[in-house]
Amino acid sequence: MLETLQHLGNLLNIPNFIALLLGSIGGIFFGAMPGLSPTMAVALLVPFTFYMNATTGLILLGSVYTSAVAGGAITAVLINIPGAPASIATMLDGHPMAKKGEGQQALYIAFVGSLIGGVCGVLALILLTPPLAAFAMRFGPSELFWVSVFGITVIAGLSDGRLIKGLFGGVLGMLISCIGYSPMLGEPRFVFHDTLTSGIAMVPALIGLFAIPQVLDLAAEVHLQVKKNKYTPKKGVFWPTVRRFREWWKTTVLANIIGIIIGIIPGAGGQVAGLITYDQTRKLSKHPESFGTGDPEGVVASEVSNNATVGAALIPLLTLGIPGSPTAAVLLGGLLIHGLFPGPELFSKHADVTYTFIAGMLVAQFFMCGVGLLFARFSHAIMNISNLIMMASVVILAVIGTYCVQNSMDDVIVMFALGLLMYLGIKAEFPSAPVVLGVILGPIAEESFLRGKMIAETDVGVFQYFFTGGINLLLIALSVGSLAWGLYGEYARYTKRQRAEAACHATTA
Amino acid sequence: MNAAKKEWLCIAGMLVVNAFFYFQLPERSEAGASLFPGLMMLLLLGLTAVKTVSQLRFPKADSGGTKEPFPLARVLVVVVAVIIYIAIIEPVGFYISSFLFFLLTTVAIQTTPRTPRAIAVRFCLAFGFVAFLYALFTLLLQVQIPKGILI
Repeated sequence: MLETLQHLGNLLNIPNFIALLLGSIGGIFFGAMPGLSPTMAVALLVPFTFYMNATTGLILLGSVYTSAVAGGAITAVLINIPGAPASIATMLDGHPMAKKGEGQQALYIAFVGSLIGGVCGVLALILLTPPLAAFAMRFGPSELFWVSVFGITVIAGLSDGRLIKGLFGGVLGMLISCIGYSPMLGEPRFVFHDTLTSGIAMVPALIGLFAIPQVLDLAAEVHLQVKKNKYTPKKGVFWPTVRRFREWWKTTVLANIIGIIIGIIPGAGGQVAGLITYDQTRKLSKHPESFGTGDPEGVVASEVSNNATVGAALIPLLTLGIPGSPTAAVLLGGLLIHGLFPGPELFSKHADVTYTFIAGMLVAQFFMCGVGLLFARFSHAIMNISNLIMMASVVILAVIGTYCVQNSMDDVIVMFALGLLMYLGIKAEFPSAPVVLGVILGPIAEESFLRGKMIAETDVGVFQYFFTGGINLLLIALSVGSLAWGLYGEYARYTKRQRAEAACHATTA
Repeated sequence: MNAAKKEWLCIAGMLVVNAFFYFQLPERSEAGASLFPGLMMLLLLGLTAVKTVSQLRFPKADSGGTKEPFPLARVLVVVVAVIIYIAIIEPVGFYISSFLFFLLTTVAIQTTPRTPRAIAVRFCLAFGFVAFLYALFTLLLQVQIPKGILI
């Protein structure tokens, strides 16, 4: 805690301050545009941070992440389309509020709620990260290998109803990361074209896998233009709305707890947190019937919770290298391109960068709230940007973002090819997040596996090295548990569907 | 296409991915560079088998309802446009090719009437966006950009 506060002063440094401000503006902008997710926003920005020092780059990515999650509330409230997946639960009461003429209150609640959730999430990050990082010091190659496996199983297990496809994507991502020369043994693998000699760099993979499928979706939905929206804010609404948070303190506490827990669970993210909190708040409410009809408490539940996941998602990321959400997975790419590897070294060797970044995340919550409240007044201008313009702009940003990392057109070709294949994969219901995580965790898994194997062969043997020891067994159990949970979910869904079909047949008979 | 057919097509795709990596895997080396990819390929094959069995045992049913036809032509236009854009960036230069891509693609796939006013608006938007990129990348960040023949 003290270390973070000591590094707050670094944010007054002009580049860091500008990164915070621009990140907050850009994040709200991206979040408010349906079709552009926070994950894609961060993926598009990762290459540009290459030209900045590590601290400024990470502050920019962190502030974009936090603001994009909150910015999704604008369209969720005003036009009933979530700007970001995390805002799905916000729509349920936010839009009915807007229809009742309380859109301005809903937006103020969303941004103040996001501020409260965001600050609590970062406080959890500050308090829980150092002990977890100290624990991670006990990790050797075998533990790191199982951590990578756990990361893939969790994110695949959360691929709603597509467990096998999610796992396939994760393993495929790891195979893609093997393309090129082996970093440890110097031998080529899967080099079927000259452009692949140096392997597939992380940034082209991230941008291609996340941005290109969304671009093609935008092109496919170009005709679905939302009707032009006009929204006129009134004066004297802000403070009375903020004062109402005293009535909602129980919901705020509950949303923070759920948001932080869900954020720490690898792979889950704000969307899951928002929906679970909304559901629990409704169940615990004295007037559950008002939810869904424009109850401001529903907006509080969703927005506090989804922003609480942002800081919490960074806890497993910074300590173990397991991202707490798909956006955190991309942020991991941002860390790695600056030569920062998650784990205890981040808090010792790179303490200055890490603590300034965490302090930046704390301050970014206030910037997000300020910019969000200001943007709420002009939100119709953002919402009315057409899919056509977004599509063309994102393609150009993806191309230049990929090119400028290594000044290589080969990277651009790889980016587009991967994006095109991922688009086909998404059409066949393969989720993109496990593939991306596989590409990121693949090198860590391979290096840990080979290192562990070398140690094991001169010591206790491969089986004993990888399959014994408390942490190894815990990680294996967690991986198996997450797979079993996913399988159970799939089976439950299947039996439910069968029962519904049987009931339908019985009725028609 | 119904859900079951789509899933079988998906399994065929998974097999193609397996076959592709199998034929590209280098022969087993002394150093063991193929070991980790080999293990991953075994996992891929195992997952393809599990998917096949699960499709046989628990076939996926149609969710019902009619879907809007997929706008294949529009998506293909964008794919071809991006390929051409990537191909001309180096010879023509980033800024000019980006301007042309922005203008021509947005005009080509727009679903509303292509009036002179609409095209003029697109022209201004494309110009403004490229000018913004120039200010950001060339003037502010001083990034090396493909200059091409004209700039």
